[in-house]
Amino acid sequence: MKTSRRSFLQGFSLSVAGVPVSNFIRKSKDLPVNTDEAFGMLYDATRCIGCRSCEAACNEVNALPKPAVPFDDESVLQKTRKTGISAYTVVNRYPQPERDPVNRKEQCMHCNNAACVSACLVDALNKTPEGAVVWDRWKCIGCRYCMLSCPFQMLKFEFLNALNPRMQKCNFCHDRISKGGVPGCFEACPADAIAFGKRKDMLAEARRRIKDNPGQYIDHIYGEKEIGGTAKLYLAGVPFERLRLEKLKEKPVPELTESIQHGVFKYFLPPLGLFAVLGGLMAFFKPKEGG
Amino acid sequence: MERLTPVDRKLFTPFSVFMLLLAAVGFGTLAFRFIYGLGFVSGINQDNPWGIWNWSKITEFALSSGSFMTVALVYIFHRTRFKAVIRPALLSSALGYSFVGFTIFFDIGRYYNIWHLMIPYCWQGNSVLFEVGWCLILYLTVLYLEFIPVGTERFSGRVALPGPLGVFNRITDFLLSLAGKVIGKVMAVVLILGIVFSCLHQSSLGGLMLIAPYKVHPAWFTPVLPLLFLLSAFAVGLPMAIFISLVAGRGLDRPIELPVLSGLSRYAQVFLGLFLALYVGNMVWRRTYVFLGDGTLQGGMFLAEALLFILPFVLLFFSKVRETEKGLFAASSLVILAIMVHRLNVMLISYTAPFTDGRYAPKLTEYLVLMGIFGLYVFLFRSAAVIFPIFPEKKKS
Repeated sequence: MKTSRRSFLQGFSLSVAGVPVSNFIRKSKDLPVNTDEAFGMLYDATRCIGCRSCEAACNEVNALPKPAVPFDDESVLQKTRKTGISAYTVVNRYPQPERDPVNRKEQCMHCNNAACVSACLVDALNKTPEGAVVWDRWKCIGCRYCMLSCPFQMLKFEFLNALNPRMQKCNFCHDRISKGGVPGCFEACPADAIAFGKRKDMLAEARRRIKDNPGQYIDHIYGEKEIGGTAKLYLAGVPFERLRLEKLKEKPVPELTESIQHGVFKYFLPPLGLFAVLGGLMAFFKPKEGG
Repeated sequence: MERLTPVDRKLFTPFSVFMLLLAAVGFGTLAFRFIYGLGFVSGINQDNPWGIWNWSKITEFALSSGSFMTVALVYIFHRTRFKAVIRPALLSSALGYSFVGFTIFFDIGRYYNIWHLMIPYCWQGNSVLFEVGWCLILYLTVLYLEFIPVGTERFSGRVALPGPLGVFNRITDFLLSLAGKVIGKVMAVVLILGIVFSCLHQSSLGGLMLIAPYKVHPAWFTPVLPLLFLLSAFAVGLPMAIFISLVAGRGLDRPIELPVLSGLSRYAQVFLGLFLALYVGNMVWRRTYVFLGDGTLQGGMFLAEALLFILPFVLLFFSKVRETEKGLFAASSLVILAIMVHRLNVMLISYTAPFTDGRYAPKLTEYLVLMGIFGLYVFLFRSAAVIFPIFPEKKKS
């Protein structure tokens, strides 16, 4: 039958044509940002005094609305808080068994192989060469799939903004660091709990501190390898789970979905192969009536 | 097969007006979304970014599989005795996918940017959602193309636009006939494309939640989730066609012949069996049977979902179920319910944000909007059946 034989041949030849087209899907996301040369941030939980100066600086630098309770009020540390649309970073105080409470600052981790970057269908989230994962407000359609994907639940959405709802999160002070500047929180910290520089230098510093202070630190740099590594690194004197940093595997989050997507669209063969098979079946099952 | 003709009923009856009323309530509620924001009419929050509107999109994708399944059966495998269900299934799928598109439009926060998916500047092909979005656009086009012959059949040579628009009658008629002729030549390609697009996105929908391995309950997190979604979409396609034929056919006094529906149910059972083989196999491989009814919310819902899939499969072995209207209605309703519960479980029940304060609970306004969409769906389905030749004429006994 002419039409279905034609469609079989069309499917087959389109498979060949699919090669250059499918290259499109494997674009910049597969070219990794040189994450060792990119910036990193090392937060040392043994040094943090919970003064919240980092929160105040972040609020200032990003021109966020002033909160009801001022930043020098440490009573807020009695409850665990989360980041939000007007608070890109928060410090929480975590009580510990048989020792003093430990503080931990939380914010977007700027993952090397970020789930949100892979999830965003309109390319509104990207890992920049500086290491910051930034949100593009022109591209974003507000579907919130990025929020679903983030293992740290760091992306926040302006649900009560009807006209211009934005995704809000720490942007690693990208405007500053891309022009030779430093992040606001790093600048403000009086206790030297935050270090900023190239990620590989942050890792070296972290290893040095562990080696030079035996027993003071847990022998692990959180964010070095977790889910493919993050730009934000943590050192602590207590197990990280006690600071609400979950145990995560080394495999980057997007690996599973991307391997499925790349497999299904490899040179467009599977879909075009299916097209050809269906065309062939249609021709095979058509009753022979001279056409 | 009997001739297909429009149903001889009025467009506006107490029933259809009631459906419009439901739609009005729903859309009125939706207006608040555009004035006060998503958070005002919906219970979604920073921990739970997706709610029942997202569930309804994913479910409606599955429930609109009737068209490509019946097309495959009739036009690929040439089981032409099922031809009578093609158009009702096509109508239900075309409307279903249209409403998915509409739901996407109001559910996304920055709806005025919805067109961004179409420009290369914004393309990000690693995203599963990218594929879902694109296949939606392409498949919706296919469904509308498949509907052109229905329009041509009804209006070709009879175009009569109201009042002053009458000057455009001849040109409209000409364009309609031209469209009909062109589509006729490429219909085989269009139909096959439809099946390919459907297979692609039904499976990608399963891949959506795989981006959150640390937040999805192990009862549902599996690398074969895309295949499970695909096979369950296959499994619900024919039951959906049966359900539509029974309900709409009865309601509009244009029943599809029972032997046709009974025959469909045999195929439906095969696809359901195929799905169950993978479903149970996955349960054994991943050892997730330990969660069935384990006392938690997830365990209970997992058990409910499994039972809802197994029950109709077993019931369809009995001729009393396959060969009676009541039996077919029960079996097809169960499969549809199973899909609805399954998608709910994968999207919402299985999902837990890290260190979350509480689970998501839908607001009344969310239900009202969904109810409004349902009302409009029924109104449009009925109106299309009244205007276009969708259902076969009743056999004169």
